[in-house]
Amino acid sequence: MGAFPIRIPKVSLAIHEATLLGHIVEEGGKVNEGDPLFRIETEKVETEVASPASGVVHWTAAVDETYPVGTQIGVIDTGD
Amino acid sequence: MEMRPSSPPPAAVRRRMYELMTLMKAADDRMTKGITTGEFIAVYFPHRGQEATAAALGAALRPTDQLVTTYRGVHDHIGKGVPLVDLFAEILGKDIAPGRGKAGTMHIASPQAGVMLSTGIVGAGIPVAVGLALAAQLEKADRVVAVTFGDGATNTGAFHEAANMAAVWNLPLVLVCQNNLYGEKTPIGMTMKTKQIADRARAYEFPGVRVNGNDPDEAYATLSEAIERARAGEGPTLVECMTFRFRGHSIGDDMVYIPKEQLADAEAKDPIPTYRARLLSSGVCTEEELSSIEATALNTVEEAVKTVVDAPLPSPESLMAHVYANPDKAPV
Ligand SMILES: Cc1ncc(C[n+]2csc(CCOP(=O)(O)OP(=O)(O)O)c2C)c(N)n1
Ligand SMILES: [Mg+2]
Repeated sequence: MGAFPIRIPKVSLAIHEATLLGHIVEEGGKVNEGDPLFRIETEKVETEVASPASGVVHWTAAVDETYPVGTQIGVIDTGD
Repeated sequence: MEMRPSSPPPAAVRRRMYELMTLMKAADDRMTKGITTGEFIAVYFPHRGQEATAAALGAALRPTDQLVTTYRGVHDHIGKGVPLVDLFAEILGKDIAPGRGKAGTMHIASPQAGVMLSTGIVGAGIPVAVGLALAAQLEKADRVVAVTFGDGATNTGAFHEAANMAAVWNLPLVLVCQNNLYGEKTPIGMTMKTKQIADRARAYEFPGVRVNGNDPDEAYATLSEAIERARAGEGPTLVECMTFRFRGHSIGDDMVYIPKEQLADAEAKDPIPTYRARLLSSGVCTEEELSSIEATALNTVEEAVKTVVDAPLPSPESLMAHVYANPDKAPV
């Protein structure tokens, strides 16, 4: 409880990694579940990833790097 | 089989079908959300939009009847009574799943609930269902076997061979085609000349009926008749249920091949709000009852997801267990 991990999603069947292109919600910003949170690129396809939870966002991984799906790249402090 | 105008199913059945449909939708929404937001990693084939047929089939079958379904089968499983924890655990690859998380989304089975097989090989479940129906016949059991598959599956040799043998042996089998107008990304018109898949049954001399698969009352009436025909020893029926899938073939499919108007039109006729409005206007359920059914579905799904997310993955040492009957001879 309290800290919801932000992970690189497996956005389609055949992908194993994705490049973190950028944050849509900045460090320390507030996000609501379902709102756009970050952008990734997989095989030249850009995807906006929605937030899995509501709360205050803290990023822990650098942008413009490529990560395996499932890698934790931040955390949402859900305040409960 | 003649389509006769029939009175709607009993109120308890209609209420049950709405409960099942809301549960199916909640499950599909939750799996889609969890995967696309990175909360969990899984392979998943959405059924959103196709709930009515699965709810009608689930309500029409007895607990002792058997079902064979496909990779796009979570709605069918829920209809037949497979517990949500078992389904989600298999999809998320958890050790608490009936197949210890190794079956994955495409191969979920739950013999206790009567679901004997799901398969990722298009059409391959139909001959297996013929075998199950033959077993029921030989055992003189009064159980019926239903098998669900897509429009595309009716182009496979497996469908035709199975339909032929089901007819020859007069088996207690109901073949349920969920015609969602696409086989993966290909519109049906590019893969068959047949105007009605139901007509394919004519080649094998058993009844074929097309129904509005988005209308649970209509689907229930026809499926019940087919099931009771099978139980009475009168042989197989093909029921073609017309429907549409609102989401991609699998998660990540951007659906560029579906014309925007076609999708918008199907969504405007979403079977769930449509049925809700009918139950309300015909006095089967009150607004409070419907809202409570919807809230229960969301809570049930959320609780099952929590149990499964908290459950452990299988240990790496157990990777080869339960995979081969003789693990020593397994290829490495
Ligand atoms: C024998 C076989 N051929 C091809 C595939 C690849 N494939 C997976 S799903 C699918 C589409 C099947 O369409 P349909 O039977 O209409 O079912 P739907 O996916 O629409 O529910 C295809 C071609 C497969 N899994 N098995
Ligand atoms: Mg199809």
